[in-house]
Amino acid sequence: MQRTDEAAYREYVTVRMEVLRRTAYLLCHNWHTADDLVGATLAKLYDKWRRAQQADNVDAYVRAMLVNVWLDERRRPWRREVSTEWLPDVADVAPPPPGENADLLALVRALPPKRRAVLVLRFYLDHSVEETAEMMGISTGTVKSQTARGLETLRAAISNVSGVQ
Amino acid sequence: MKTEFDAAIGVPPPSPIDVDRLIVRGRRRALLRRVVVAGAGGGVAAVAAGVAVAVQLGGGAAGRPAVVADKPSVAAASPSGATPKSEPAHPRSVLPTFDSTPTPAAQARATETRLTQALKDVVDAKAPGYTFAATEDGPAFKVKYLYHARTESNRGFDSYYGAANLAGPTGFGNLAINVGRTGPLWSHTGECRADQPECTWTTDPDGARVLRQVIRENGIVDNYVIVERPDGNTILIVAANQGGQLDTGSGRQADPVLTIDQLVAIAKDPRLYV
Repeated sequence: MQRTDEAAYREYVTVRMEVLRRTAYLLCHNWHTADDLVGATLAKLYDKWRRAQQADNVDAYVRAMLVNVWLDERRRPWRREVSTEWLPDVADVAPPPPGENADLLALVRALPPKRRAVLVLRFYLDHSVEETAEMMGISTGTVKSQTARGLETLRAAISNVSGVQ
Repeated sequence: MKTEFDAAIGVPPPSPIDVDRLIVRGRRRALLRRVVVAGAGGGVAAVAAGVAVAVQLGGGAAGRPAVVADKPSVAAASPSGATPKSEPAHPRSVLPTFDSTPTPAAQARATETRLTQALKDVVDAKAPGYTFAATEDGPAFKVKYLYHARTESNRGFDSYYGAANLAGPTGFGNLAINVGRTGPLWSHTGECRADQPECTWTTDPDGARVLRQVIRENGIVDNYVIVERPDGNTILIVAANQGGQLDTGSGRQADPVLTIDQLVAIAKDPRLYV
């Protein structure tokens, strides 16, 4: 990668780090794992930076990478075999307090992985049905059905929440 | 609904992801896995992580004598019976008229399997007392065949790549190795640049040309070795003081997990060949 590309990569990563971490946390519900996922995604992004810049929507490209890294990680048991005496220097994080929001996270966590990803892309990152389908490599019909089933699950916790049709 | 999600997520802990280290690891990965790139009529390119080492494609002007690529392969005498893939000999000043093609799949798979076991055995013999763990590239030392496809300006080339995270007497760190046949499609520039003080090229008594280099960048230290063996194999091997590209933390200890001398010993082991 050329130094000018590295500068653009650095700027993009710095600006988008927060939303990527929060998105990863919604997917996996663990900050250590979320940071691993984001780190893996950004490492891949470094390799594919030029291709990413040519995408119509760089954010969608990167978010698709993140979702796929997460789904891929779940399919590969060897990724969980890494064990060392070293522990990452990350502060412990208290779980969210009980209540509606905690219930929301618990319900999201209970969803099957792909359904969870669809809901996160659709309702946290505001991607359209078409964008979500393209990002996940599935049909728009599947996105709609996964969305409907996911929302059905969440409805109990979000009955008072705006923006859910 | 985004508002409710954000409220549920709460305040994230400080990010442990260091962008500078991501970039350093990305450069290293580029060096190890895609190494190279020279135009068909041009010189060598591909300098990553500040290393003046590259795989050279297509016989460009390298400033170094031609590599004779059709040396007998140790594979020819190997009990494994693997058929070596060789390139025709030609001086660098004369562009070859052929294009590299991928090694046949069955042959590549057989070599992957053999090298996967050989790599574990050799590292265990030359650096005893370490445990091997998976990396972002797969299980420990699971060797993969890499074919870098021909592009408009570059000829294709191939090599075999494996990596593991080692933990043992000297600490923890990533070890990555790339094995290929020396030739017009896989060789090095043979130079250390003026801005690389910890870099030497030597020709050892056994005839091997060896690069020994220490790369220090942003707290990450790599011991970096290339051995061009008389038997026609060129091996690139790197040990770090942390766990590879996806390990975005600082170095676990001051020095890489294996020494330069250990890396040279591993790279010279005749069990590692293609």
